[in-house]
Amino acid sequence: MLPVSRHSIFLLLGLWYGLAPASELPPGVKAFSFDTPRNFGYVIGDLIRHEVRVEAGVGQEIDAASLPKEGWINRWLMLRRAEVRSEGKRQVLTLEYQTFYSPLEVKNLAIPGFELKLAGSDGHLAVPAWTFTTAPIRELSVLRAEGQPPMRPDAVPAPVPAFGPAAASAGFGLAALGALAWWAYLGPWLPFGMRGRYFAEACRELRGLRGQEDTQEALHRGFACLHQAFNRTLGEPLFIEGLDEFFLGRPAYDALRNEIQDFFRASYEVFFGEGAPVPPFDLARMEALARSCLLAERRRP
Amino acid sequence: MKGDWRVRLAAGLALMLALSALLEFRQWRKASAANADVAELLVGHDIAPERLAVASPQVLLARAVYFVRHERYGDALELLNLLEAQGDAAFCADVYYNQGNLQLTQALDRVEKAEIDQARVFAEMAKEAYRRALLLVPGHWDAKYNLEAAMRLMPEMDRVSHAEDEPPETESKRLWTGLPGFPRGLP
Repeated sequence: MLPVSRHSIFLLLGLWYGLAPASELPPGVKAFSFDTPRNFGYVIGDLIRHEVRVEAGVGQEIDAASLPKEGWINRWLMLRRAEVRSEGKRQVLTLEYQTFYSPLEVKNLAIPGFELKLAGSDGHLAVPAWTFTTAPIRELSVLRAEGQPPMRPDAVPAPVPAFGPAAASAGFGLAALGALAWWAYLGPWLPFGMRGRYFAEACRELRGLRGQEDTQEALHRGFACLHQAFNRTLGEPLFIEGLDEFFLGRPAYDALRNEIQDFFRASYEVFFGEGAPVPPFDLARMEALARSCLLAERRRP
Repeated sequence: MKGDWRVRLAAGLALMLALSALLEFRQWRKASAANADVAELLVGHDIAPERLAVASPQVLLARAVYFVRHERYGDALELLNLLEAQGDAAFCADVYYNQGNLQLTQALDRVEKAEIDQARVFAEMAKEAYRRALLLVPGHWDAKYNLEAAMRLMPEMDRVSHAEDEPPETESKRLWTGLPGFPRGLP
């Protein structure tokens, strides 16, 4: 039988023993109680827990030498634990016994009593003997010839839990993939990442123009594709007048302010002025600007 | 450069998580292999020597059960003695319980062969093993059952009678001065 919980000791089957009248208690002791579980229905190997509560004056602590010794008390009774703890003004002595008696029929047994001494006092507190009944859990005959198997089979090992590590492995693996994707997205070494794609496209197109001379047509295409990237970044067409507002909303591009302003000025000259970019803005410079914008776009907070 | 710490964080996270995933994966592979070994032993096949070299205590316990089923009691006892004090309380209790079963089985064999003295020795060892199992896990019902069986086999010499827990006094042994019914000689 499993150890009787304290709950059942107190509420369901609690029996308060030894509530001695105050007059019989040694001087200084205000209260004394012996708290025990049900006293029937035990089988071999069961735990029995007793609690002794003492409320005494200051300095009158339970003398550890007067406690029963842990270990075998007799051939069938083991005292597993004898512990004193404080609970407010009270001292609580917990005694955990284990019975190993194998009865042939229901039988009365007794846990012997003992006398508790308090430090600094001559008085004794008598913890009474406690009688309980114990019962057999199997038939009398043991031999194989008499039908029932004589003993329970060997214990086989419980399966090692495998689901936990499998689930954890899958979870960590997925999380690692997520972190890897984040890494790739932040780093400039992979051609994907949602925020880099406008300037990445412009970069690609400008790279395609690399081999050509800075002809009017090539310049037009270069300017057009970079403008396109700026427009898509802003979500609407961006003109030189709107640049201040553009930088205000996108501080990542602030470091490139001068270069971008030059680009817009040169572009105005190319499309609406003389036809030659002023300040001079060739395809190589355009590609460098596109690359810087690409990095700014990826690292934008 | 701005954002550098985030790149480092992402890289570190990715590596750490990947490593954890790998470790857990290994753990899982080991657990499944151990469970397969245990199943193999319990259906009655021994496992390969190279698997034995990396066997966990659970696998070894299963191997001890396998030995017992093949009546290799010496091997089983050696293995069970090796497994003492390994693993948690529940596992240790099972090891002690199986030791007890091994001794009790042999005690029963001896009783059936009417070798009472040897049976007594095995029964004593079985009782000791079951008690150790129950001290570790008081709710071990199989150990309770078999401890009771072992005690029935060889009744405790000192029956607790009338709350007397001390060893019986020597006088009481002299109650019978001779064996009853024993012929006392010719007329």
